[in-house]
Amino acid sequence: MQKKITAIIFLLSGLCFGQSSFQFGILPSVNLSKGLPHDFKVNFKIESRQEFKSGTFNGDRKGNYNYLLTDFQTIVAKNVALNKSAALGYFIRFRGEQVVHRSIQQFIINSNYPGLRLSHRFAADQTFTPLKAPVFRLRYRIAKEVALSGQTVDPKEFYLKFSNEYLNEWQGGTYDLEIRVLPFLGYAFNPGGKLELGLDYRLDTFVSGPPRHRFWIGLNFYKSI
Amino acid sequence: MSFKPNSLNLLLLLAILLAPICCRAQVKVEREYRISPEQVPQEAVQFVRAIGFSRRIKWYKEETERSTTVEAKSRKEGQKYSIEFNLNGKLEDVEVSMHWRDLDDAVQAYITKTLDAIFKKHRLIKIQKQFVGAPEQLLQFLQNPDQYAPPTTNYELVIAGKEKRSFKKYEFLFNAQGVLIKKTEIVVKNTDHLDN
Repeated sequence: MQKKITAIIFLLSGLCFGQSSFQFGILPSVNLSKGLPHDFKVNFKIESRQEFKSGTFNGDRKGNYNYLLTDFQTIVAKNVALNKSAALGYFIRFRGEQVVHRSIQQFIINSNYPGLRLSHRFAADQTFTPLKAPVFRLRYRIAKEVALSGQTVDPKEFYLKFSNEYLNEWQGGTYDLEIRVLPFLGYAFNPGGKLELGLDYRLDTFVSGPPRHRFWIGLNFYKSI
Repeated sequence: MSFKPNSLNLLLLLAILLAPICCRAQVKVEREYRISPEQVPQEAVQFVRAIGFSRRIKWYKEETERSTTVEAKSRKEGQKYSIEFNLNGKLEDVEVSMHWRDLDDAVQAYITKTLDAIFKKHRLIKIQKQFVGAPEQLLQFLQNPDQYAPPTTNYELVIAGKEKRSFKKYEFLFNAQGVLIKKTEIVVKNTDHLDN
């Protein structure tokens, strides 16, 4: 089993390995949202990160299960046009005994085309960890939803979702770039309930050092209440 | 302060297991899905074939609370066509995409006045000509639009508008003179999985 997981990691990374490090695990999340009057909406998300294997590609690897962290996030969004929204949010992370706080600002533009929908998300966040310099990020993500039956995703239908995100990060004068690629298969139970399974691939630390590859199996549940 | 990991895994497992039950929601179910020509009534297939589309014809079934219809979509001379039939193959209407600028000035003015009276702000998303009539008459017109008079023509517009304090999407049906026949709200698809 461990050999198979290692083989998948090698196949998926596609970059020069050398001293590259990797992490593999699971990233399950539950998203609950509620529409409010006057075009407001609130979203609450719980996400955990659980590691199955980590190490370097040509060096040491450890394969013990490790529960890394839990995130709680609340975002309040307002429609500023039919397909555009602005949002503010707060995020708290529990990593062992460490508690991390983050403030979030987002602007989202959604577009509909026959057979697919595109979402552009522009975001900024500020992360505050005790005894560490704050982290400031500017992010852009494009997400594409492709209906697998008909021209739109209807209840009891599958869909594909591809996301690509770029996160520019500054901490204490140091810059880093993180790139994420997320291919997912989703199923819509009804207009407000969806379940998705896929890969959340993250590449960072390559700007000024050996790259870090992280492969998370994403399992996302969405429910509009 | 720490968070017990097993609690989240249990919550997620419960959410996944209960999703088919708790997501059997009390909302209107509308579905549109692709079907093969073999699943379409012969009368409908023959009508669409007779129009003479150069591009591939795609067939869909549309299910709503009120009815189920089959629809053919294709293109001819750069215009998108959508032809709707009931489950017995009886023609309901033909819709053809068009541009706002191709409408008569007088009709444009009348429609704009109607929309300005309803919305604080509005934006046109899509406009189509809708032809309604006897199948033989419609087929003659679609095969030779320059030679035959158009049957009953309506205009179907999809509008994004701000009414009171909310942005919503509507489908409007106007007659050939620009008089409003029907206004229907379109339920905007949930985007939680794209936004978050």
